[in-house]
Amino acid sequence: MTQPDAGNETNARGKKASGHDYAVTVRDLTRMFGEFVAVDNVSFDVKRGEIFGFLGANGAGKTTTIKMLTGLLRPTSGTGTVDGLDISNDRRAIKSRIGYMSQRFSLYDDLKVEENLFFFGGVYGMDRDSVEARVSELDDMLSLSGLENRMTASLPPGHKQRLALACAILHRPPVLFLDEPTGGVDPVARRYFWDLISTIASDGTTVFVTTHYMDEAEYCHRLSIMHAGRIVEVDSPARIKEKHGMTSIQDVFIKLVDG
Amino acid sequence: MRRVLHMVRKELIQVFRDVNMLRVIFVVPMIQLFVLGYAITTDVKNLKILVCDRDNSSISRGLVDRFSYTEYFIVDREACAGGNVEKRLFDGDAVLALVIPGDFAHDMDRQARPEIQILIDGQNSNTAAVALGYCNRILLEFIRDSLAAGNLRFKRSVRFIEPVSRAWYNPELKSVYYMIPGIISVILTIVTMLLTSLAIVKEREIGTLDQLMVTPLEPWQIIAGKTIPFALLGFLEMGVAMTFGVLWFKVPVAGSLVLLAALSAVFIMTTLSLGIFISTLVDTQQQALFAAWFILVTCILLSGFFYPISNMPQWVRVITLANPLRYFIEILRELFLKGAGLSVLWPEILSLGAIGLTVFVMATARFRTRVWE
Amino acid sequence: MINSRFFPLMRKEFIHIARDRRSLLILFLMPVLMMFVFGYAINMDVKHIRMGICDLSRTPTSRALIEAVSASPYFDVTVRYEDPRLTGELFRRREIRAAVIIPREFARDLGASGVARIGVITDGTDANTATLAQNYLEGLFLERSLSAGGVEFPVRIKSRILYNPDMESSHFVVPGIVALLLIMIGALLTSVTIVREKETGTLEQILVSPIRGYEVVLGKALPYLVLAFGIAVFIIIFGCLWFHVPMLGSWSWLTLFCIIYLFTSLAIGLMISTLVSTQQVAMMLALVATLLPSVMLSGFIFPVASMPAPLRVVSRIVPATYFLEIIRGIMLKGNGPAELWRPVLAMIAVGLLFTVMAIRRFRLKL
Repeated sequence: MTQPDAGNETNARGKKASGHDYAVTVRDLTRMFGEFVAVDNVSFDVKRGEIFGFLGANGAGKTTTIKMLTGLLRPTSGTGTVDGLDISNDRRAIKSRIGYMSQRFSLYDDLKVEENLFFFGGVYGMDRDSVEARVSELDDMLSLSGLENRMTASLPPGHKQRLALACAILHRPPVLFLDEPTGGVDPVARRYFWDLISTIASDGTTVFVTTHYMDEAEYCHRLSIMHAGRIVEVDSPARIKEKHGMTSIQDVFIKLVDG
Repeated sequence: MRRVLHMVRKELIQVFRDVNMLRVIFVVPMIQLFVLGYAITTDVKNLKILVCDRDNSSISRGLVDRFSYTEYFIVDREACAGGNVEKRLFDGDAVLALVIPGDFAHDMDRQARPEIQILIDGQNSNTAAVALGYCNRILLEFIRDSLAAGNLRFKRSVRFIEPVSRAWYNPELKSVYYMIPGIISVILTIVTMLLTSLAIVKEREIGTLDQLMVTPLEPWQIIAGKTIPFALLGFLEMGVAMTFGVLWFKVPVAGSLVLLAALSAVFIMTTLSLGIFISTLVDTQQQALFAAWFILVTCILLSGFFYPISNMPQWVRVITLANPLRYFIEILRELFLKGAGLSVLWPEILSLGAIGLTVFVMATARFRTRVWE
Repeated sequence: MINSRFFPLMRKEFIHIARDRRSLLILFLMPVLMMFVFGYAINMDVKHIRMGICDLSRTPTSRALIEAVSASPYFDVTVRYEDPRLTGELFRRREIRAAVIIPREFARDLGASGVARIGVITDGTDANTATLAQNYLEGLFLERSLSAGGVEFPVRIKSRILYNPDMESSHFVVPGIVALLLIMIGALLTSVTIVREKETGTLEQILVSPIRGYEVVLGKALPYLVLAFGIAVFIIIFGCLWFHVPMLGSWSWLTLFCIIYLFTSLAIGLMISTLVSTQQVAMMLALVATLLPSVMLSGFIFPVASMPAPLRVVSRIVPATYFLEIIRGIMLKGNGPAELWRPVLAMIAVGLLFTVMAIRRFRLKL
């Protein structure tokens, strides 16, 4: 992967904004839907510039956690910070400091590619010129040029996924949340996408990513395994495998979840 | 504000890109206006009337002629063989019959008070009431003219009170003048309320609403961004519908256009708020459509659009007080035909404003809690 | 014709219907609401019209006339005024809907020439009320003229109202709502449900299974038809019990004709589903293509005969026009097939026309 020129700049910015070592901290976070406990007393920290993986089966509570961190859901109890800001009280301030891409690649299908980009850029307060500049800067990575006038609906899933990612990082967020970003995409495109994530992280952006693909877990710097609303393991993939004496994350996962 | 503009631009691109949607927004209402303008008439025209003239004198024929000269009735002279008239009414061939007895002219002349029978199929009680009214009127005029012309012998001369009737604001008593303002209000409600709720629910369905919620957009900015385009469309629609109404149906617009625009803005705010409110109640577009439709039908039925509110039972009239459409239709009718201004319309304007504000506050409050639960 | 593959599909559709409580609630509430509002509120016999009287004559004759007007249940004399120029202001302030102006020379003219003119002004904003007010006043004045002259009315007018002697609008409206509801559910719901499967791609899923095309359509539509039929029965029974709508004819004929009508609306729904690709458009189209004509052009409330010729032609291909004649004939008149064969045949013809069109388009599309 080629390093974009803006890499250093982003890096510098990330450091300037920080002043603290953690991009995300979570303490005793709980969310209930009626009687059902979706997220149960979860605590963890994510370091700056880290790719932090959230691994779990469907319904384990990954999406609920991400929604609480991004301000889409109110925590039932517990606290958390994103980029040093409190998730319950500083929701407004958090929003301009994060990027979010959901499993549904939530784009407007009936807008053209560039219209989607201009729209989401505009929402983050960017004018057309700075969106264009940023898109051409990201183009090495995302290869979306030539598609500007295509209808989003007509794009193949891999392109849609990259467009959704572009929309999420236009405004250079220090923290990027990706909720199962590779669903419905073929293995080649998935591989390519994880390369992109690594590039983005190497620029200093913290990437918080959920997945249920075990092979993807290996790309993460650190990994937390979630089961039935609880975190059952947090560590780097190598240490997790070592601790449980197994050769693949998949085996560890099955052991933790079934056991 | 810049962020709201981005939302508005995006929304307008989406609306104008969807050809089917444009048809729904512009072509369909014009068809509605056209069809409703002609079809909704509480008047009776060209109604077939079976006439059984057992007298067949010059006087009775004169009476029958009076029926055939009006535009209300088409006379079908009927053989009067026993029970034939009843049979044809039962078969549904006609809904109205007039039976003139034998010796009608003679009996009238010798003051034996012959009995004219009107048989009417009362199934459609409205048509029946109106048709009966016209029959009576024709008969009365016939009697009056016969008396005046001296065709009938009387001991003393009769003095006549002759009404000279004028209908102000609508001299030809066209019911279309009454209906067009109502139709415009209904079309406006459909475009603003239904489309707003569908547009918001659609974003929720495809997940872009969540995407918007994680951006720095405030809930009010999202609401403004989703409603302003439909408010603009509503105004456009209203302009088109009014132009059509004025040019085609020749509905007069006597009042101030500025006042009309201002009051339409109040009304549109109410219907848009209803649209937002609906969107917070439902999960899918189908449910949104049902809910919007339910509210729409209720509002139309209780608005005095078809039938005067004063005819409704007390408890129904109380309910209509909460109906924004009721006030807007009243405002449009008074403003179009009579040129009414603020000094006359202020009670309606206050009520409409109060309802609009209440719905707006409720809708935005629900929208906020719904997105941040 | 129907084999075991058909039933799972139908069961699935029943589950869809039962799960969506909100829509189901609206489907039941809506007709009840319409029945109440239409049943109670549609009343053309306008009473208590607010009236102003300007008596410039001030004679016993004019006062007697005013008394007669005040005594009529149709008018409430709310304003008496002296200056006829105030009339316009009273209309604008909506204090009155009609005005009678008795000129200064009223009594003199009546004595001298035998004819005295009197001004009747109505607020034409509401054309219907104005027409009725004019009719009432005209009759009233003629009667007064005669009785003042000591003359008995030379003719007795006897009106007999058949089939709905009390002129209850509910008797007319309840069968109409059945007709509306059947077409709405039959056409709107079936088209939407088919288009929804098209949108989500599950229609393809079903079509690649060994199930046959007509089985798919029937399997999807039958539950809605059953639902529609259930609601129709509910409305009729409710109407009979609450509003005392008579049921003079035969239940079995009514059931048979209902089923024919339902299949006609199904054909329309099917045709709509072949024309569009999104639910939103399907709904709007179904509303415009079925509901609007069924309410406005069928004679549901507004008589077809009063419409201009082009709309009368359109009303001929609206199935509700025929069904309304049938259901009202059966319920209110006790008609049977002997009287109703014409609308029944016409309805079947329209239904077949739509069915053929729908099947051809459906084949073409899939």
